[in-house]
Amino acid sequence: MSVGADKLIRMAEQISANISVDDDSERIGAQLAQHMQRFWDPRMRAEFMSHAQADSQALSPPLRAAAKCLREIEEAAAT
Amino acid sequence: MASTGSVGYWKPYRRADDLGTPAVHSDVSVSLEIDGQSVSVPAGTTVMRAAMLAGVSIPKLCATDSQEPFGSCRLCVVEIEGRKGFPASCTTEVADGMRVSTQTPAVARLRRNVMELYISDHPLDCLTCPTNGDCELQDMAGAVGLREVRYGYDGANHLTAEKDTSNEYFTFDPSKCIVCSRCVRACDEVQGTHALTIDGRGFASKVAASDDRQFFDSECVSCGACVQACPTATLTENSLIELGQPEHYAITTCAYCGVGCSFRAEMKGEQVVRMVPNKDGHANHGHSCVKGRFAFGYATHPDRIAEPMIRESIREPWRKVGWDEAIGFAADRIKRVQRQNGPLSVGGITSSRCTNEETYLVQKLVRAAFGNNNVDTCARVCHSPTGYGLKTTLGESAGTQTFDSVEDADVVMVIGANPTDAHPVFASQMKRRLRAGAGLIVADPRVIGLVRSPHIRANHHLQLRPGTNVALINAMTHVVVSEGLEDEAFVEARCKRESYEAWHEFISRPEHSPENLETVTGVPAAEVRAAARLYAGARNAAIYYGLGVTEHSQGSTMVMGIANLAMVTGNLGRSGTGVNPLRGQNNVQGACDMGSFPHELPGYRHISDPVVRGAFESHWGVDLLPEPGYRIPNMLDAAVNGEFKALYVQGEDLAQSDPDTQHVTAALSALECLIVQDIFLNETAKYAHVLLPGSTFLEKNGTFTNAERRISPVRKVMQPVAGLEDWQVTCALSNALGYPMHYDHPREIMAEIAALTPTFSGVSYELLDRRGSVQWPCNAERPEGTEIMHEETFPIGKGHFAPTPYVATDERSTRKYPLLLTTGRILSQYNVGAQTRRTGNVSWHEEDRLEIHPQDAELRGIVDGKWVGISSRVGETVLRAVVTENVLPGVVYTTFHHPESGANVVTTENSDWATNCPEYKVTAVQVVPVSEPSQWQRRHADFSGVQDALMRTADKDEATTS
Repeated sequence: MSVGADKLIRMAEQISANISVDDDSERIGAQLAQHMQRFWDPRMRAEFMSHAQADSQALSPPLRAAAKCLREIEEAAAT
Repeated sequence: MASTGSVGYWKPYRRADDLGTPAVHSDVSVSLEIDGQSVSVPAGTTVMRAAMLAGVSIPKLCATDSQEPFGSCRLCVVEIEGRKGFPASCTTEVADGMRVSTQTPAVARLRRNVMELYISDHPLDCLTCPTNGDCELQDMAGAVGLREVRYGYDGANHLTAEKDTSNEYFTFDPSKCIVCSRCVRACDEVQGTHALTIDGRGFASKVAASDDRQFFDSECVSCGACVQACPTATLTENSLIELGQPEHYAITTCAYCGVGCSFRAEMKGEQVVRMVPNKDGHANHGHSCVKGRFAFGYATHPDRIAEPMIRESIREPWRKVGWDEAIGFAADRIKRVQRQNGPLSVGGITSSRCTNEETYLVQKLVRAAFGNNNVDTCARVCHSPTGYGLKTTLGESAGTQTFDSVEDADVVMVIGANPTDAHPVFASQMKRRLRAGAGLIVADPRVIGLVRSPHIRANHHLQLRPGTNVALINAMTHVVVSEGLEDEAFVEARCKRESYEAWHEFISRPEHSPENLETVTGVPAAEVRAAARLYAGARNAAIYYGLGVTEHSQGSTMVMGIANLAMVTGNLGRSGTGVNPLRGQNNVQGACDMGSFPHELPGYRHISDPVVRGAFESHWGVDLLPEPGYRIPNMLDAAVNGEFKALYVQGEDLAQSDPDTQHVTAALSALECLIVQDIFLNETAKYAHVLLPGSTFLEKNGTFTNAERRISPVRKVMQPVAGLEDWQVTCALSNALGYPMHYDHPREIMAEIAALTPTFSGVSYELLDRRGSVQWPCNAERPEGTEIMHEETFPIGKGHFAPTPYVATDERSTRKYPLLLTTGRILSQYNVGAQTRRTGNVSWHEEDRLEIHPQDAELRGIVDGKWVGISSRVGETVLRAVVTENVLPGVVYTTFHHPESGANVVTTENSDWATNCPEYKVTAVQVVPVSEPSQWQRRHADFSGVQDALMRTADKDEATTS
């Protein structure tokens, strides 16, 4: 555990709310993922993603989209 | 370690040059003849100034070049060919072809007569007078050749007038007053407080403070301008009275707020006699405030940590050791923690109070020697949203203007800043402009000093509810866009079309209208519309903002909202306009510039950029991690969770200044190794295992960067109490960790910064010695620096409009916590108070108090001056109440300068969405009358008592063994 999943989810929700000018979850999710990529320690992103994987349905659509984006970025980096 | 001795900048003491009247700017040149010499000066210049510029000295008493001409002493009379009588040279403007004689038998006789009258009512105790050797009256008596006083000394006089010693720092001795009004005019023109006056008429005229009160009880803010202006010993620094005249001085930079005033440290050996604001100082132009001018005594306070200390656990007494042992102990602990918990389990925090060079080294230490990016700075908790917001919109994380730019502003908008308390010297400059007629909009939940002050009334005080900044700026900007007040040409030429169009659609939505948001902000729609029209309609409008903008859950959004408003009205890129963050501490700007944030290398370049990272890797000879590290709140959370184990903190007091104190102290207590480098045993140091003595700004060389990007020199005038400057300590720690750092002088560190940072590439100590200061960007394109940014383009090319949705904070008033607490600062104290609480400034502010509106007080049975308990969902503390209408009903306010107040026990973990800057400015609380301190305060007192005792025990151990 780095910062704690609850706190990370809250942070992500807050970012999501602040970058939402419409309800395009995919776009908001992509922006959110980009923000996390730029400003979050990788341990926080990992903790967020593992929480998202375990309890995906509990997350809001933009957070689910962000987790997906982050996974894609990671997979792209791994190959 | 090589010597870092201070040579080259000590100058023999002499009074600063004074040309008698202020400089005048004119494109028209006027030629005249003074004592047979041809002189050319700008039109509008006085004869006195023209003469002084030509090297001709005219006797004077009431004239000084920091004030408008007054013409009262009649000592500066001259003869001008073709003119009748003897005009005063200080009030006579030059004219083409004028022929002036400054020394004729007739003017000599007149001047002697004038002096004779002055001296007939002046004590003749020159030999024992505090200003003996540095007195303008004494000099003038000599200059005019006064040899006798024919009137005798027995007539009516003021020689027995009583001294006023009520002010901590200076003495008013009216027996020596010549009623030249320089003090009164300094208070009016320079400081803008208007606390002094000439009371009475004719012979009975005398200087009086606010209706003839003692200085301390008057409206005087103790800025020192009157003391500096006084040509006699009437107003004199107590330190000068005690120590005598200084023998040398060095130009240095104040270590208090982000104004970054330049000072002459006037010295006797290694003892500071007084700090006098530097007339050539580019940020302050010879003005000062009570902190920089007088509150330097902390540097020699007995509480200073004078020796390195170590201990195994925080329950043990401190052990005083040598530097080598302390550094070795610290390095061993860090290595052990990293061996056991991995390289990412440690980090460091840089300080906005330390120099650029020190800050740069700490981030270098973390990235290169610790091998991770867990580095952050106290700017995290103040201006990190400025960095994010301005970088996103304008492309650079810095204020756009120079302070002097305010002199061209037609409308000034102050948002969430309290300049007269927190940035007093700039506030004086701003007030001068406001008195000259510039419009003023204040957006603040409180009635701050600027709203109503002598000769100043805000056109609009938008007294919004705490936490609704973004709604307010959106409403204002909506008015601009919907009423056609945009600067279309600027938007077209300077901003990204695509971002503008998307943003325009967003901000035009009816939901952003002032009428719709009135219930959110509490500000009447008509007032918002009028303010928006005033701002947008001005030729030049400038925004100044402070922590009331950034320290919110939407801090970054608000900064972007401000930048949007400035862009859409074309208020950028020229003097008189701009977006100006007022920085809290002396080197907030510099600490951010130096790569203190975990995601950025120096110059605000992302750590993931392989080119930038590569440059540092090859210069530093290490591989750097390409990903951001932990921010301060992440470090604290991870410490509580057991994942983060060791921290090196330089010059920062998390345990007092960061929010949710109990969470912070839980995190600090969980660390296996806490290394604190500070000048005092601060609150954080009470949880430390290694205490490394810090050095004050008087004890080291380096640079600070103020709120206007101005890099100014900090110069060593005394030896560090423990022998090492802070940058040397960081080097020693790095060397002990196995990563070599070798510098002989901070100039070499600056050279490295310049080599690696494009915006700093032209900066060097040689340049600073030559120019006095320089504003970055300073590079090949701009070798003399940059006063005003974004004149032609933005660093990102075109400006980016960012949509700013208003998202209400989670922190709302509820039935249980019905009031909103907001926090701020006071003039006489600085930040956590570690410095100012150890000076005479405590006489103005001995404790933090809670401001509450009379209605809320009455409802709760709260009485002015009595104890109240303030509780939030995270903690409780107790303060005395001040019942005042400065705050709205529903809002309470306090400062955080005293540790035992525990203001941050109450503030929560809520933070800015983009940067995690804490939401200090909004906490839902309940306030009730109480009769005793809170549980936290009792625990804090107990803990501090134990820690103080452990510190004293260290003293005893040494006393018995030595």
